[in-house]
Amino acid sequence: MNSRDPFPDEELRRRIMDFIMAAGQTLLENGAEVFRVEQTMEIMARSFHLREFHVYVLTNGIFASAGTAEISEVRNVPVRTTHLGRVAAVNELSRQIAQTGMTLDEAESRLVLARQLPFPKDHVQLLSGLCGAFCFAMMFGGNLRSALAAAGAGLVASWYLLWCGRHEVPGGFQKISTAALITLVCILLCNLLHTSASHAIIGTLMILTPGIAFTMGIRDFVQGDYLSGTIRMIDALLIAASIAIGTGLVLRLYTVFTGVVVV
Amino acid sequence: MISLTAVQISELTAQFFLAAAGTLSFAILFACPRRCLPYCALVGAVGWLWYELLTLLGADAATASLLAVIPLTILTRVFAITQKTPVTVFLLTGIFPLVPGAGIYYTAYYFIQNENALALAKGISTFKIAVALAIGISLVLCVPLPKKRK
Repeated sequence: MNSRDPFPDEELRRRIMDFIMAAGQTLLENGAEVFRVEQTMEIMARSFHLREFHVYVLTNGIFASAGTAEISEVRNVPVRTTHLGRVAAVNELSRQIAQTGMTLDEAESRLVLARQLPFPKDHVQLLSGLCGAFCFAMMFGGNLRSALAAAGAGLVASWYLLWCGRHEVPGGFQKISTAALITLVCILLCNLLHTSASHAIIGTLMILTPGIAFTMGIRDFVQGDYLSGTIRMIDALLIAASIAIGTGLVLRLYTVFTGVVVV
Repeated sequence: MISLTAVQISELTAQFFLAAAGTLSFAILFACPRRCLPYCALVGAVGWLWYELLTLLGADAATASLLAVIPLTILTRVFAITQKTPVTVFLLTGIFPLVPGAGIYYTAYYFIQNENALALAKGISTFKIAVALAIGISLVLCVPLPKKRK
């Protein structure tokens, strides 16, 4: 059976559809924008000669049909992580499918490999959290001592985020508590090192800032996906608010308990 | 004519490498493909260098953000084509130094300290930076590419 048959039979059509849906879901879950998901799925459908393929993608769901709606599938994609390696891998796969005569079997096994690309190891994540916080504290006008405090807080915050991921702590609480933790650690370390805390706090907070949600929101708006863009923007706004709440809480409590205003 | 002192130039160089290292950390955190990592770092560093340079020349934060995000986004598109990788990979990581994290912090800080006027001012300037970034990114992303010749 040739899977690049210009007229795939019914069983093959189902398999192609399942493959395309899985590819789309992988893209969406790992941080691709709506437009890219739609485009990639359409390219794949065309390459495998799946006719009358229509797809509608939202930030958290995929709706698609093929044939005269003889096949239709809906996928709910509630989980969202950021693994750009997987996005790049599926993108590469779709390009190769379009350019070469790759069979469906091979494409399926390549997709499984792309979906299994691992996240960075724990110690790598901790180290990059530490290094990122250090660099950003220096960039935002901190001195070496506040950058060191930020590095310490970055390490603690990355570890806490890893722990939250393992125990499936809800997103909002996770953001608020991490912001509070970062602020607390920075104040304590900066007191120890006799320097002002604000640069260290800002540098470490970069780990939490809604850069992704914000940028993706803009990308969706640019492509005319206003609904998905709005969802992302609300996400960005809520993250910003959570950071403000967590940080504010600790700053206020510190002032109340010690009578010292953090500078 | 723009003239910079040696101290300013060395400061800018230091900022360039710090931004590169900071962006690289986030690129690793988001599991970018390994071959793209240096490009991600370069995008972030170039954006931040422009921002610092413009701030040095007296631009306010929103203007500097807008003018810095344009070369940054152009660079992401160039890399997307040469590396055959989605723009997202470079843009998500490269934008990080410009995201107004400090603005969010100071807004919350003044709000908590009951400095309402300052909090409002910071909040508005943070919002302006966000809008400037949005405009800059969409300006560059909207420019159509010439169609491929077959």
